[in-house]
Amino acid sequence: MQSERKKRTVGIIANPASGRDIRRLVAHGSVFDNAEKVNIVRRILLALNKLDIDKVYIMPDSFGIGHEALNGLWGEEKENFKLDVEIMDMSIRGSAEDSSNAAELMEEKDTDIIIVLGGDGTNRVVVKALKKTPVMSISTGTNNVFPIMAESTMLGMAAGLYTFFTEEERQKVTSPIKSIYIIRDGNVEDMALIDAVIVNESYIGSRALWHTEQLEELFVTRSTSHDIGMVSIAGRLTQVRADEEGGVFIEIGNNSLTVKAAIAPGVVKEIPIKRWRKIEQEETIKLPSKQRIIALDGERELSVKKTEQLEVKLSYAPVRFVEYKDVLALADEKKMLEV
Amino acid sequence: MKESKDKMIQMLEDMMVIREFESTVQKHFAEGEIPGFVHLYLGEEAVAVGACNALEEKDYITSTHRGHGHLLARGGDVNKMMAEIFGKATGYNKGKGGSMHIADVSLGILGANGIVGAGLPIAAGSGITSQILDTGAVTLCFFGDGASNRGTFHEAINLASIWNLPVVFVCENNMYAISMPQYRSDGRKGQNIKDVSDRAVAYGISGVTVDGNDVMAVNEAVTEAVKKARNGGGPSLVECKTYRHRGHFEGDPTVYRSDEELEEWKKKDPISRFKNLLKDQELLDDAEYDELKEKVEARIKEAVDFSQNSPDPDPSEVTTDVYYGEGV
Amino acid sequence: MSKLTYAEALREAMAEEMERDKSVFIMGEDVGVFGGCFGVTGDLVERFGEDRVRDTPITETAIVGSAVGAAMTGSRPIAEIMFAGFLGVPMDEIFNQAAKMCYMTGGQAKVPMVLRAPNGAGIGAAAQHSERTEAWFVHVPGLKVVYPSTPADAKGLLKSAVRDDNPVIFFEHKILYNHKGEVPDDKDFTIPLGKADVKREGKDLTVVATGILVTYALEAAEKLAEEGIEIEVIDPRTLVPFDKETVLDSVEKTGKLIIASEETKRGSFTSEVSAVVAKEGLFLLEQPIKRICAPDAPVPFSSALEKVYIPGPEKIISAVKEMV
Repeated sequence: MQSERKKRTVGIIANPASGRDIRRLVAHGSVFDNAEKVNIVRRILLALNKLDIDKVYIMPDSFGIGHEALNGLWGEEKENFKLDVEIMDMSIRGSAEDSSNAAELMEEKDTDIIIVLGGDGTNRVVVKALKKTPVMSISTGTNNVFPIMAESTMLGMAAGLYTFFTEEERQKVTSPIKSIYIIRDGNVEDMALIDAVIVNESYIGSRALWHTEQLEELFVTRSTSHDIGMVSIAGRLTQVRADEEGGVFIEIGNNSLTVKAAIAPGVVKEIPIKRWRKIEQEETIKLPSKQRIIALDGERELSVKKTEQLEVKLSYAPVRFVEYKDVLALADEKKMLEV
Repeated sequence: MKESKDKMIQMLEDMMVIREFESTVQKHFAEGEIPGFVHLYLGEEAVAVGACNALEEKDYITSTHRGHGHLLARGGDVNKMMAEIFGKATGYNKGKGGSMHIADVSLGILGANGIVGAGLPIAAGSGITSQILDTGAVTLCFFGDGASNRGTFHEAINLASIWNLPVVFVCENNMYAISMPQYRSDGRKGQNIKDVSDRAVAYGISGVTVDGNDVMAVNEAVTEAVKKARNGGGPSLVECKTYRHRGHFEGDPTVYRSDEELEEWKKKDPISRFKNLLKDQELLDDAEYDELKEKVEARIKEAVDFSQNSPDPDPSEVTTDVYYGEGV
Repeated sequence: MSKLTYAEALREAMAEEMERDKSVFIMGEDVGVFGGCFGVTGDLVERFGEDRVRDTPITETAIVGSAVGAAMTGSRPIAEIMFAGFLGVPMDEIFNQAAKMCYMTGGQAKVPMVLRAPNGAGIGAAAQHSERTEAWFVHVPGLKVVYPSTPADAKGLLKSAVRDDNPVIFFEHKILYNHKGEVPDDKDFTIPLGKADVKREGKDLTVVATGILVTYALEAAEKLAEEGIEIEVIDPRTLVPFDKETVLDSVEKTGKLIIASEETKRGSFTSEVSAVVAKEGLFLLEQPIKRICAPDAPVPFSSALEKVYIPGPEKIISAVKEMV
């Protein structure tokens, strides 16, 4: 009798709320409707259907992306669809909490890999909730740095193939995820995958960050010339790749240097740089006490009182990022797709 | 964007006025003092206040059957409002409009409409005036998720788009058109999209969705949309997700929604959220809040006294105001 | 005086009002470069530009609804609905919005707008494009309803309608568009709303007629005069407000009344005139009132049928002969 192998499982978290924030008004952000998210999930499922996957978990959501993806199958495609897909049984609040709860549930179920559809914000919430499950991310919005723009059929195939890999192979096709941790009064409060920005504001409002007048300090986990958003400011100053150690700390304010940065789609602004420096991996920076708002990965998230002590630390998240191109390359090397 | 403390406190007060006004109407309606039916704005205060605070004096709004909040947020006189709802001669509309049609035209309010979705073409027309007479005025059009299924929505937004009219369409998505859910993944639904703002793209305009229970989120989005409209950027659609604490009208048994759902939304109450924010930011303390509350309560109480002591309209008024400026 | 067609007279009225008042503008389907489906707006877009002569998409609800909004904010829109039969599409905007806004706001809001609509049958356009809908609007408090029958009336009444502070539904008969007549050139020439016109004096019988039926009544009068019968032809010109005095004065003189319109009979404007005269002039009448209308059926397509359907001069002649 054959020993029972571990089930090959893939999780899918699709956020129905991403892609319609105020950047469609104040910038020229792309419009990404839920019908297209349904389409993306359907393409992922159809790819997984061909790969002998035991189980797919999908986060339930207020739009019903998973249900709609399945409902849209018809004819031969439907007849040949044998994938065991479960829309998880969990209560929906219609907020970011859903993504977070779903990630935890998928991890409890020992899911091999989680595909995230969303922007930097959704990915941040998912990564924050996970302890071990690697993520693969596809961008469904504007202003994103963390998730990739890719055809979801290929992502689906990569996710499926990944579940067949050994521990060693998995290590090879994934990279660590740098994160900025926000520590309030000694407790880790939140984290960012790309950037944390301290803003001189008093409310969170419509969340997205597009005014640059109130920027005070900026922390980034990567600094590249080609990325959009707050990291674009850092990109003018120095280069730090996602896969190398360290980050950048910038203080905004008038001094001798001003740079042009693409802080949102279609919005290029002149940003004055007071001073900046690279920060070490695992370095903690203590910030002066004042009442401030902190934006994480482009969205205003936290309100800090002036009595509170704030620290920022550059570290690694416990989970890894799956490089789908590396997965597909290794799979071909192993001739996994030969019939 | 950074707002002044004064403006934020003012917005809190505006929301509290609506809350107190509507709670008072609820009570007097239950006691049989108010004829007809009333649609209360309780729970949606952040939308009217956030949106109207993005406007200038010369701007216009169109209001709806659930319009008390819009008028109050635009600076309506509580005495004349309450008197109108009581059907008295001293009311804004001389007792001829009532709860659903309450309006102060001098404040740029182009009527409150009992026909769902009727305000959208009217708002577009107001935008035409801005263009033809070059007034610089922006028109803000309030409507609900239910209205977004009417032809008026499509025709008006299309017209506003092709003519680049300075109109901001503010959708108060309170999740239900009476009993019909705007969207749910299974079962009855009014439309097969979760976000009304998705429809903007079909008309070639900007569409955004914001938390309609967060007054600053609404204010930011509408401010940007108004700025865009005023500066030749054309119309936008701003969807505010919110929830009415009461039924569609007073007396609605709300069999179509669960108590749990209501409780979830009450946790997101726009007034307590904003109050807590202001307290956190040390812009308001408990004593100041209590003082504000007393002031608001006194103001509404006075409006009730005024209404109760006001005369009924004279019978001769039945046939006046049928035509403008003419008796009969 | 100039000799103009009914359509030209309407165009001149609009041009003069637009020159006089920059808040006046035109909108409607194909009113711009196309010149209007019946050519009424003609070259106005060249004279006033696209901002003030606005071509709309096929969007009757938005045309009328936005006219209401424009009127409430200081403009004086003249909106064209391509056929009177299309007025059902924006009906809410007419009877719930335009008509009631002033009353519902306790007299605060004014809605100075004109809604022009080609009315009537006779061009083989079948039921939906030949509709006569004036009675629907006569029924609605808050609206004024105008229906000229000559080029001069068309000009003078349209100018008054534009200047009026209330919503005016302005009917134009398609067959009349090419009728010519003398029209005053004076830019201040207007005809007040609510004033009937005695188009021909006579002592034997009163015919109250609207729209194209005024023309038919005058033709009938010519023929009857040859036989020594003198009928008086009255055109109310505005259906609301209705000048009942002129009609009652005439009935007092003739003692006999025919009311003629191209409408279907049941619940028509003729019903209203009958009721008013029956109530206020019963003892002036020597005989029961007669009404000449189209049958209670939709307008047929076939020329053979349409000819039978439309009440022409012959029907008026035979009715008069039955009564005198």
